[in-house]
Amino acid sequence: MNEARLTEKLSVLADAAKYDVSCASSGSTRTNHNGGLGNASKMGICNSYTSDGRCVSLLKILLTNHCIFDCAYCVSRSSNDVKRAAFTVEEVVDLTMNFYRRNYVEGLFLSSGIFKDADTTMERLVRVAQELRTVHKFNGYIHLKTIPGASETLIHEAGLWADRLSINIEIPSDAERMGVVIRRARFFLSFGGAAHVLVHRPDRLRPHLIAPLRQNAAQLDLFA
Amino acid sequence: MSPAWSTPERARHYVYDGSWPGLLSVVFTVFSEKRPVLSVVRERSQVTDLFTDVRDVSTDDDQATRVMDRARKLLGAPRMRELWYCHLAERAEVDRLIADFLVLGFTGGALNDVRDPTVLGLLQWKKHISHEKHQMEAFVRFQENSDGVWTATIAPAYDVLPLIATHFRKRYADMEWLIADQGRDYGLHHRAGVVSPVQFIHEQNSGLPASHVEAAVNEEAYVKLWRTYFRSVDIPARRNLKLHMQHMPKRH
Repeated sequence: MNEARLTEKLSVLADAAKYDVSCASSGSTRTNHNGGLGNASKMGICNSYTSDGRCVSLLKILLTNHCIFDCAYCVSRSSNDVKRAAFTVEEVVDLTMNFYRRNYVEGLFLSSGIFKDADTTMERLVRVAQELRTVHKFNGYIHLKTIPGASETLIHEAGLWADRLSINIEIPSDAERMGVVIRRARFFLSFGGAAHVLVHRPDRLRPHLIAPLRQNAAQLDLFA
Repeated sequence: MSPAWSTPERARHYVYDGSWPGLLSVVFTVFSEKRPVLSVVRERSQVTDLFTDVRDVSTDDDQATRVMDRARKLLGAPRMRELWYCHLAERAEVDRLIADFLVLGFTGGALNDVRDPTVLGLLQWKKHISHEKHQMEAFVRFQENSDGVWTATIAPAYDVLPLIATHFRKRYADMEWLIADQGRDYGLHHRAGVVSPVQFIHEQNSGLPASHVEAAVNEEAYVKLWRTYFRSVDIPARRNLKLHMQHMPKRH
């Protein structure tokens, strides 16, 4: 383990992820069925609190803050002069396992800047979750961000390993156009976004929910 | 409580060994000798007034079982478990509440009336202890030792080790771990799905086994990495130490 290198990456990539609102570890009831490591607590546990009083229950990091896009609102936009770093899949897996074993966290929250293209990035995120679940028998909480534009197969697979999937939708704060945008965003959330994490089984009338799903309309209103 | 035997003059102090069956034996004695409770204490020296009666109660498993069975029928198992929760507070005032509560129940009193100080008091204690249990589930920190055992030392306000055992057994099923209660000199040891209590023998001041074993090679590195993470997720501009302390008191 190259401690100095890992420390640097961790500080850059935790810093880049810290403004993301979600850090809940509740709502999932995964049990430790295979004698492996961990379970998910329905009510959630805050293992620690930051100095401003926020709950720290997950290792919340980006896989990388390298990004091919240049979105004005984002700290990781390509034109921004910030330190860049990237974890390997093994590093994220190793950090998660070791933090979890020490009861520092309840699980992993993994998002990422988009390197190369959406599918490559998404595939890397899925691989982290898959390796944790299969190789390391990890039953703790996993929250993956889905990358906009990633293929349906990948998002479906992410849903198989994760406890929660989410997507960020950024909306301009232009009052005139707001109504239309919000309506579109809601439409996307209720049909497009939600449909992706549901598994359609031909023998069932209703789609089968594979991960806890919540659309946060309140947040949309808040930012509008 | 029926008025026939609850006259204040007949009340007296009870001394017992601090165990749960011991407390149930106290209840048995109170009820069979019909002398109400002034206090329930673990040491005779805790009784300070001179002119009152003191009764030493020795633990009797048979009596305890009889009280337990009858109380279970009266209250149901979950509520009886709550009483046991409260007993883990290890406080004379709580022991007294438990004894009063059971006698109240056996003499036909209303057990759901929260205006009753006994009922209300126990409800509040149950809350304190559940809170301590939840905090311990969150704030226990394991360290890996060179022999592969994961150890943690805690100093909970109440004796909550029996309450947190299940959580840690389920969560850390593939680890051999030891959680030591610093103040009470005992701990829980887990290996392959079995949790068993271990007693610590005092050596000088602290006999905790963790101090005799070396930490694993990478232990320090992960502690440092965690600190790095913790510093990185902090937003100094929004520092709110009062809230921080409310969530995470200094003793943790």
